[in-house]
Amino acid sequence: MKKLKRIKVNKYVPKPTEETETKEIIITDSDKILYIFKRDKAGKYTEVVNVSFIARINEEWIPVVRYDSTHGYLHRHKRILIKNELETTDTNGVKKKGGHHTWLTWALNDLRKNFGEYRRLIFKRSKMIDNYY
Amino acid sequence: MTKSTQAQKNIDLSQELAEYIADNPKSVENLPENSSFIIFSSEDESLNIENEGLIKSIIAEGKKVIKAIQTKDKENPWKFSQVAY
Repeated sequence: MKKLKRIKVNKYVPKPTEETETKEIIITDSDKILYIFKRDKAGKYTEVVNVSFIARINEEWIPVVRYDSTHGYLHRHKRILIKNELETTDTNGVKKKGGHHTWLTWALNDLRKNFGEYRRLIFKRSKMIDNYY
Repeated sequence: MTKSTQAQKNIDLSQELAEYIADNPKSVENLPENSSFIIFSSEDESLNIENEGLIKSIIAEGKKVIKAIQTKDKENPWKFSQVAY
């Protein structure tokens, strides 16, 4: 009986329609800003994945405050204590109108204005002294 | 310069840098992923001296460091160079 020839079929792999970009900016030896966003092929923002203020505490980088727009609107996550990863989530005073570009700019601006206060408060809640400043 | 002053100056510049990168993604497309930007001001030499001191500790963490150098050119306000190590 004649053997059937196996035909090689290339599997369809869809081309990615979005690109994720991660950027990290060092502020001091114990502070940095991280932001991750998605952009479609036309260059338009499709999601603010993460805009974070990260502090080095006890030799560990800890996200103190982060913003994301996972559910279609911008919201804030605040770490409660240094010693565990529990967070609160809220939208108090957070930009609601606009799209992802506006949200990215707004979140970065909020961290610029308030990172010192966010830092002070997590140390206060954790009943620790900030020896890094 | 106090650390608070360094932080405030850098965070002010970081917003300008972040928005520039977001609006001009091609400007950084050849830079390695997962690298860290350290900012150098076009005007503030004392800040630059402080920031130069950050490079070593970031490299020690195994990260690649990119110098984001502010220029006075409005068309191209930032230029980037990877730190060799």
